[in-house]
Amino acid sequence: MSQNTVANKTKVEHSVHRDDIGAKTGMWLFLFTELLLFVGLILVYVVFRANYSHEFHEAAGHLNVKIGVINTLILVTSSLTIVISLAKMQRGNVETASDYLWITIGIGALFLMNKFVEWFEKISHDYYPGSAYLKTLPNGESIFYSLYYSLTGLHALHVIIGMTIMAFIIKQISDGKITPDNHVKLENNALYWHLVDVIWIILLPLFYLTN
Amino acid sequence: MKDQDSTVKNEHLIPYKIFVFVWLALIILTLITAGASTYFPGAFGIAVAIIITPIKAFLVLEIFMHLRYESKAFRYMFLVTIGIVAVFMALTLVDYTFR
Repeated sequence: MSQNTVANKTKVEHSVHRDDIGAKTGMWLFLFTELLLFVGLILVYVVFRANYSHEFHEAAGHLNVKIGVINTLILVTSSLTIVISLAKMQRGNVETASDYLWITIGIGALFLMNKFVEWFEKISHDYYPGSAYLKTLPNGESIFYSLYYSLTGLHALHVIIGMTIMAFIIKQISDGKITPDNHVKLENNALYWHLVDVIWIILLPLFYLTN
Repeated sequence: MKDQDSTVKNEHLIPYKIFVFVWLALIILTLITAGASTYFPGAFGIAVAIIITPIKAFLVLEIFMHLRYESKAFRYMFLVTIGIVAVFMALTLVDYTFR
């Protein structure tokens, strides 16, 4: 009898303090606003591309397709490692879940490094908004590079935010605040990271595969 | 302890091989898109990208983001968002075309 009461009490406490479905719903709603943020910029891209299709084609020819594709492979792989981290947590392997988050942070850093090399190379060749060289080219090419830096820059910012949150999640796992029984924060972090992946999947053909 | 077990069991434990399979599919689809745009530039390359890109996004959403295994409400929410995006796109393009 007394055992039953204890069991019931635990159940009640759980339902009072936690609402995992609510947490996930909130995350999805936030992700939709993120998606619309990028869609707005992509719409600008679509209209300008219709206006300056030849210039966009020329400008895209200067981007390194290999780096874009390699970065896609990198980001897709990081999506796999974070989903494995969550699966490990659900199965009770807390340590391994934490390890996979570290691996994901490492792969994210690799993505950013590639991005840095790519931007550095472009900027050193005078391909940046407002550069003297771009001003000599047709207007459409300059617009292409403005959109390229805005969209990939905004995306890189999201990658940095995702990695920062992962570091906090790792800390909370080691503090015992995220457990196999209570891991919605890890799940939401993974959702965010996957959305960053989806956005990159959409950006790849827009900028790198327009030849 | 018993409570903990039941919480864990209530979740859909998706086998690892499904994740690895989706990852492989994403890698292959990326390479196909890149190959098509490099070796068949122009209309064909663009057509391949237009077909394959949504498939890749769909795979990530359905499997990695668990949309397939969640309650239907999440899927409806997602469809509403896509609907809003479609309206934005359509209105902008109509404005652009007939201005």
